[in-house]
Amino acid sequence: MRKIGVFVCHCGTNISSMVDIDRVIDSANRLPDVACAIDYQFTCSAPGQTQIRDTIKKYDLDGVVIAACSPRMHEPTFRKTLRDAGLNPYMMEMANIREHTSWVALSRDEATAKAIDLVRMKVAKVARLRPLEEIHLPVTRRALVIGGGVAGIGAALDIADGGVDVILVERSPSLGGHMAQYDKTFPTLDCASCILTPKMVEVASHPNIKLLTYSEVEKVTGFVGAYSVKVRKRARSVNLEKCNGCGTCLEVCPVSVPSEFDASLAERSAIYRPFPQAVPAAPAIDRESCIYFRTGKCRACEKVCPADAVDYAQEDETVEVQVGAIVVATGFHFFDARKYTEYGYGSYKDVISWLQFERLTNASGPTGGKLRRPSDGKEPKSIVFIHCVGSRDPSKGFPYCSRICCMATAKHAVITRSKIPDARIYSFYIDIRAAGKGYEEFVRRAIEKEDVQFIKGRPSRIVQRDDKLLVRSEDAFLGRQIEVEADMVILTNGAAAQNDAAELAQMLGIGYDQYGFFSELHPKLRPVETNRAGIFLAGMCQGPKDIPESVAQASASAAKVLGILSRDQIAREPVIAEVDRGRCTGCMDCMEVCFFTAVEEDEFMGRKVAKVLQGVCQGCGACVAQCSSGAMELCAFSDEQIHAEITALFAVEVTE
Amino acid sequence: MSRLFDKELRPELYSDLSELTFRFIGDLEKCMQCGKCVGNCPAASVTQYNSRRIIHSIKMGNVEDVIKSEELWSCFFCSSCYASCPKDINFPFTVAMLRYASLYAGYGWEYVKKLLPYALDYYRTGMTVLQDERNPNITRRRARNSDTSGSMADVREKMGLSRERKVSDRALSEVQFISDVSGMTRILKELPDKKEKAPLSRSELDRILLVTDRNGKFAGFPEEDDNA
Amino acid sequence: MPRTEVLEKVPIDDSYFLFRSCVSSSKYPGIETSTEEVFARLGIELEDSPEQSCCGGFITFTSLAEVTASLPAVARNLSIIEESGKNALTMCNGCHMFLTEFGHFMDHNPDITNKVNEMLGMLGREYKGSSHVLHMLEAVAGLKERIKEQITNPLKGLRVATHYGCHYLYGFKHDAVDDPYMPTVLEELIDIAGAENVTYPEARTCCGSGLTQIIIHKEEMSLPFLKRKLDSLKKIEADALIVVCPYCMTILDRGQFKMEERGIEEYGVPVLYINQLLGLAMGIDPVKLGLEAHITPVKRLLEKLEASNA
Repeated sequence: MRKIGVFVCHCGTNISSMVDIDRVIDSANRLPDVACAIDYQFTCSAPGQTQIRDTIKKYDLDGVVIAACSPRMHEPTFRKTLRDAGLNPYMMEMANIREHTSWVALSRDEATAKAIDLVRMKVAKVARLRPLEEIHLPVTRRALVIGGGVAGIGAALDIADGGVDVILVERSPSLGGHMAQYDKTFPTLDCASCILTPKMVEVASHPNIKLLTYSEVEKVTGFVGAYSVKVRKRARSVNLEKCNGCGTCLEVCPVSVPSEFDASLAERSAIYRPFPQAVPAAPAIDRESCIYFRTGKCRACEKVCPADAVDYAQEDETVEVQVGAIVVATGFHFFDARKYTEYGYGSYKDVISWLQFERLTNASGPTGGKLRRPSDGKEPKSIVFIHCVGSRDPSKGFPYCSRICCMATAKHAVITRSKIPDARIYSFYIDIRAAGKGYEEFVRRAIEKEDVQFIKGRPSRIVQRDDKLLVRSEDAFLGRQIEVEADMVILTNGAAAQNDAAELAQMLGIGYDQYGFFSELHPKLRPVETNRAGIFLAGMCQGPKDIPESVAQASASAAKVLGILSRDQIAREPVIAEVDRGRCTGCMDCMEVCFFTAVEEDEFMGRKVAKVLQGVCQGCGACVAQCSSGAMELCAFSDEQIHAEITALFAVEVTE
Repeated sequence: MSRLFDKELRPELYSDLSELTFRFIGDLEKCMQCGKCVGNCPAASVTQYNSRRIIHSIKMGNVEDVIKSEELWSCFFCSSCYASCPKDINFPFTVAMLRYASLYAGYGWEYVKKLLPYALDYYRTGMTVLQDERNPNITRRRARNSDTSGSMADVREKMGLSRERKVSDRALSEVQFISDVSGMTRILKELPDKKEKAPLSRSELDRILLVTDRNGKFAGFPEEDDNA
Repeated sequence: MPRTEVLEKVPIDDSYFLFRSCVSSSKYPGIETSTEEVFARLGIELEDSPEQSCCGGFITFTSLAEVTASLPAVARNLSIIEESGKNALTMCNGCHMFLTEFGHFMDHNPDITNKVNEMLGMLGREYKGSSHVLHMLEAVAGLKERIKEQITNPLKGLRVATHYGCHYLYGFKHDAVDDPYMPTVLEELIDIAGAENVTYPEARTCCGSGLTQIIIHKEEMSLPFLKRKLDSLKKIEADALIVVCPYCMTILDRGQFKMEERGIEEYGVPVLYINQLLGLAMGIDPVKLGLEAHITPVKRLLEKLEASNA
């Protein structure tokens, strides 16, 4: 005979408005293993929990059923309550008489009947529960940050400053990401590189950070506290220890290819540094365009290098690192504006993209910061900006808003005004989204002080006539069709997820949405966590956002990482699979079906048996279903327990 | 059907527009009022026609504003609006349906009458465009270019074709049958006597539809304030 | 740029049902004869039927016939196409639009299709939705290689501009075989024919006939709108303007004459259907190609061709 306590919650009127609490209490009291059944308005509150603790002690309960909301809400809360009362926290079940009952039933009778059934089922299960202990696993005190843009840099510095070692992996030859390409940032008009490069240098010289540039993550296995990551360090062809960054090799290289950093407005050589303040300063050789690697000739860079740092024989090297937590900060890429054939990007030379504008106005860009038409090098006098290229367009692009384009365009317009005081500047928008600190004021400044003509209307087409571009649109506030003759048009193309985002997500085992942005665990309350414990998100890879938000997320992720790595061990819920080694036949069918690779081979009394990796197992139950010898069981969801629940469901209610 | 066009919630829309129309205009709730349709619109460049505004009027329940207007008859059916729409709203078909509604309300017959000769030709021969030319100068020019009399029959003969393309007798009788049974013949017969109301210009509409009640119906001019 | 994923789905057959256009038969028979000649050279058989009538869509958009009246008329034509067991080839943007749009509408609304088939049943016909209706642009895009083989008289030195019209590229949006704003199918064919491609700013602007506006609002809407396009065309001194629709051809060819008649402007740019141009490059007789039926004279173009071949 068991002594189970049943606690029924009113949840204000959420439950009691549909469920007849008295009848539920009454019915519970008649059940054989139940020692007591009481109710309370808000069981999760402090007095409610006190009531549970006191009742456990008073009746010397050995099991608890809490009939209230979904376990997803308060299961951890009540487990703690049991622990505080001296009872094993896993001797408890919750009967969901809110989300599954009072919130969906159509009548009081229906709701009450179901609540009574659920309580009876859970009592039957609790009667067969056994105590479980949390699992403690060792923690590797090191973190991995994937991505070296502003978010990745921020996360790495915060973690390193917290006293934990960090490995930062960046795919391109230098840190910086897209922010290094920008000219100025809104709304302060700070120079982007000026505020970013000191942080880049800090990363490179921080004693706790190991920087791996020109490298990519290839495989991730393991679980929180004990991840094992394979990183491919691509062959730079330059010896990082020897190179002093003098740049002589850059001048002698005969190759010229479009520069990705300068958004194809300028060219770079095969041995290249993305930009002058690159970190590390050592260049890399792009083997696809290098003459030596294609034909065996040239070798000019090797000849002139004073430090003897060029090494053609270098090969890719794969290393395996052990980390306890991972921060994903892989950023985004700009929507391909070529899709908008109505705007002629790619065909009309003077229609340029966001990034190209940044490079033109950047003092270290291809024109030394002068705004000039790419077609003939003349200074444009009539300039048009177009918002929402790719964004808010389910037909050609994606339906979402890229969040930062309105501000970026206003910034571009203000910069244009400062460079060409007598220009006529137009900006075509659908709506203005300026919700940050100082943002609305900045847009008003653009309109009121810098004389930027904002026109509501999404342009329909750009037509080239001689050397001018005709922008045809509606001025929606006038309700008339208009045509603006422009010397230059800048398309504000939006933020899209990286092309290989889905692959990376699958490699990491984290969720992602239909656009390729990685999924946070809860949109409101858990914005930087993922469904995989120990893996966190920061920056644009989680969704379009501006720099302050990226930096904030980076710090948030770092705090989470430091939290995990601050202990020697982490605790895990023991609701996982378990092998009865006496019964296991060693067929290893469980290993076949395990999606999480949480089952390994082991040896027991000279026989092969299965072993569940306690850190990895997610408790999904696939192996339990597959096991033909009945050796595999799910703790807290054993066959016996589930069977008891089902049997209890069909038992007839005992009434007088 | 979305809430915007639900029969029970928006009876005022259903009084003006037929059930069939709604199969075509159900898309309109997707409109984000961006105006991309207007920039390319040929009608918008020569008249006050504005597709974005028409959609907004209908969503507001101001169907009268659209049905009675003369600008509804400006659409060129080029589909540039559909091509540029980020929400893939098929506006040309919507306009075609709204024109029917306009006709039922008694407006627009004056425009449709101009098309009567073509419809009658279709009924009579099974083809909408025939060989005779309304402008004798065209025939003269063609005579010069082809070194013939200039009539299409002669030009065709010189090319080695029959003098006139005719549809078969069976085809003609079927075309007429369909027209009779579906009611088109009756419309064609009644058309010349149709008493039409002149569609209203934008400025006239803006003046009288300023005041509407909750159902979007005209509620009269505001009463003079006694305490003014 | 042609959309390969759409082009792959276009059926290129050995024979098609040729759906005749009223405007073509009555005003520009060269469109039909050039199509027949060119496709014969490509080894494709074209079958037609005197049972087909005008596509029937025009009267819908005139709002004279309710959808309930024009739908059976269009369905009747579709059923005749289906009877031939072949896919149909149309020569007109309008014919293509009405046949396919109404076809799709019926496919998605089986209750309406049933009613239509009731009416058709009385005539011994039925709409099943089994035939695909091709636009000329789709067919020539898919036959580029075969066309290349048949070019015997490359049109050296000829400066050719294009006008695609609206109803196919805009009306079909995602399903059209080419991009509505930067189409290249005709340009590629002009290149194959040995001529030189020239472009003008208003190339992708509507012709202005506006389906019915050319009748209802000719003076105040169609013609002013057309003038903008013709002015733009005049500046580049093209030898020909290529179209893929007899309706576009009508207004572009005769519009120039109207402007001349009223003493507004003289343009003199001959307007040719794509198959007429290809026919010339295949050495087919210009009279057979129906070039004499055009109002804006084609003589100068033919003389220029003779001179360059001499």
